[in-house]
Amino acid sequence: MRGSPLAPSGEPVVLAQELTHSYDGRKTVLDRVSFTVRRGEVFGLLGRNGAGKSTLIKSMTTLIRPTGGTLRILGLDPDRDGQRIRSRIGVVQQEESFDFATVEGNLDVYGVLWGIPAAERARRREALLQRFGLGEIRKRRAFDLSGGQKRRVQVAREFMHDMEVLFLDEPTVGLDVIMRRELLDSIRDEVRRGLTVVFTTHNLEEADYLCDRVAVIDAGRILALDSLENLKRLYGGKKTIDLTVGGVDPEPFFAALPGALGAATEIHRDGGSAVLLTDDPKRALARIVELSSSTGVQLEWLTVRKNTLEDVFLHSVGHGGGSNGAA
Amino acid sequence: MAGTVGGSMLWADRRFGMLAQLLSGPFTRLQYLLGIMLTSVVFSLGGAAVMLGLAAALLGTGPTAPLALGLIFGAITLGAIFFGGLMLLVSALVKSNTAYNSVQILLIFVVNFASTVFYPESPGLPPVLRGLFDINPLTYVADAVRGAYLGTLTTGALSPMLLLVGETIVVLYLATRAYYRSDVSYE
Repeated sequence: MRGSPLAPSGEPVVLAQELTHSYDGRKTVLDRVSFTVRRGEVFGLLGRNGAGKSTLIKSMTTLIRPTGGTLRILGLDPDRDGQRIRSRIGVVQQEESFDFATVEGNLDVYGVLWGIPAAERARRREALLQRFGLGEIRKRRAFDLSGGQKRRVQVAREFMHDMEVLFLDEPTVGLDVIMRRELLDSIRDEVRRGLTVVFTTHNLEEADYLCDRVAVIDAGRILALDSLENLKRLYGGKKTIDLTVGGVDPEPFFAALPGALGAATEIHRDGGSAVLLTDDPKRALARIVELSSSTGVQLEWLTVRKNTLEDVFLHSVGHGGGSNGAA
Repeated sequence: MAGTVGGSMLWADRRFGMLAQLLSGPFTRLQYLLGIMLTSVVFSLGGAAVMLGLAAALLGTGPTAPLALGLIFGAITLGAIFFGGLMLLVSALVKSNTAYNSVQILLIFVVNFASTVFYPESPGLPPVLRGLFDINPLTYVADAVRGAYLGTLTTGALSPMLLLVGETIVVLYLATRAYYRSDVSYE
């Protein structure tokens, strides 16, 4: 694992040490995961589908009991103080969850469940309907809404109650670009007011936009954990080359590519395209052009660019069609 | 059969994600369980009150003694808890929507028609059906309610009710165990 599992400063609101979870003692979905989330931080769990992100969220929100390790939420032990923890957190599950009611009814029911007094409930409901653009659909049944509208209701509903930490499991799935940005900005506003946010995503752009620190998780293990700046700096010595080939069969080209570029270059292939991380882009470009001539493929796209979070992710996970000749 | 509401609620809440959402709120699993059991009982008592009202209107008479009314509502409450627990057990164990609906329909069909709810137990019944009638908890509830309503209840009705109490405890234990062990959502 790269980076420090400890947050740089601030009171820890989530503390996970060697956290492990397995189903039936066989299938390990969390493998000795350690990290700390400090108050006021936006902490992202970045990983592919099935990486263990949702299991981690369920552990932190007391829905499942990890089979090993130590977990503290707001300084409390989920085993003993589950209800106290849950009264101080908010959770937006990945799955849809609705009462058989209208949009405003769902908000109201949630307010009732959390014991919000009627007048305050009405005030919050109106504010949230406006803030999340739900005014026009307030009388519609939540089950009849589009995927993006349902997601908005789910997130809005969570703000009916006060909380110290908000756990969001893939909050922007199904949202269009504008709504996604508005939602992320809303979360940012709440963070400025002191909210701590832990959220999972496989969308690298939104992690880049929102997170102070990210943990790259795959197969239940944290592969990299640090601030975005530090993670990008880790690969700062390298440049990224994007290439796409066409024309004839690209297999001979990709088969010969690792040998032509050497072990220092990472290759992440996806069909006829590849992302390369290299210390010497000038030399790599020359080799690629040579190889394309010798194998007869046509270079449709070839660029050199700065590293992004996606490159960090690809490097950490080490998949995507194979790395460094593994393809 | 309003007692089956609880099982259906658990099933729907799990199926539509509300169980996971509720249990990540400031509630315990036990509170949720008690909530749906209470709902089952309220539904059952509400249904019974309507039926009693209709019966009183049609027959022109009905039980007015507090003891009779207490017996009727006590038996119905016990039956609601039993059948609520039974469907809770089914909904905690069965993961497929089709399987849940099939089991529920089969149970409702067998429990209703192999009981004395609609007609008395006939002496000419085959032994298997007679056995079903005799072990069916709904028979005990129906006999107790009918006896209390018509004022024909004797001390002989006590044994079936005690049996029902025992069966309810067993079903509740199994249902609670299955519920606590089950996942909060199906993914």
